[in-house]
Amino acid sequence: MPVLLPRPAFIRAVNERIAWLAEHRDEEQLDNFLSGLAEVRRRIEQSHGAGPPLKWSDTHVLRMRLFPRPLPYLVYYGHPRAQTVTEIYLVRLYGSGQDREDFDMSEWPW
Amino acid sequence: MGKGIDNGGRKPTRETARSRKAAVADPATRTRSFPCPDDLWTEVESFAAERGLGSPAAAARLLLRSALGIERRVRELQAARDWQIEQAWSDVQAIAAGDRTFGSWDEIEQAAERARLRIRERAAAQQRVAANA
Repeated sequence: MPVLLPRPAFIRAVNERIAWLAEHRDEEQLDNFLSGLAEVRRRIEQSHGAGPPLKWSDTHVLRMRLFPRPLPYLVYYGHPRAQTVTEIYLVRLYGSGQDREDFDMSEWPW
Repeated sequence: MGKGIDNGGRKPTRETARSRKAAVADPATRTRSFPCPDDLWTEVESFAAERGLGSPAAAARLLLRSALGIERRVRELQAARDWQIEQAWSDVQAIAAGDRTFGSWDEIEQAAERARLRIRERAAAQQRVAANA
């Protein structure tokens, strides 16, 4: 099983959403987000090739997986183009229509 | 097959006469005319009846506005997706160039625990306010 390595931008995006939920939503919605994240981690770990390739070079490929519905998040991840993939890099988490790094979670839809 | 957008050239109904009056009252609204296949107009008429919109013209206006909104949103989402891919790809390229900066899942678990405590604090504060009210 490959190791999932989160990049700082990915961790920052996840933690910003968690912090927003802490101030504006109840525990059930926090749990929904956390279980969505755990599920997408599991899917990427178990079948990294299932996410559609979005960009690639001779050495690396970028893919994306959606959070389970109805959560409107996308996780972008990359890995080396190798027969056996041992490392997967989680690089970004975005809202489905997000088009900038800094945004207000209350401005739905993003 | 050509049809006016209001009611296909038939005698005006009470609703279309009313909508024409409204059109005259609003200088930004004009009567349009364009060719429209019978089967499409039949669908518009059915939609108007199902939704109780009063006239096919009202239905056509609603459908046009809705479809244009959807088209605009699709274009915005595509532009956002392109931007997201560029950001993510630049990170993958940095990794490919040797950048081994990674974080830890513990940071996320700790943030989740802090959030849980904060939500419980907020809930307790709300209960206290409700009890004192």
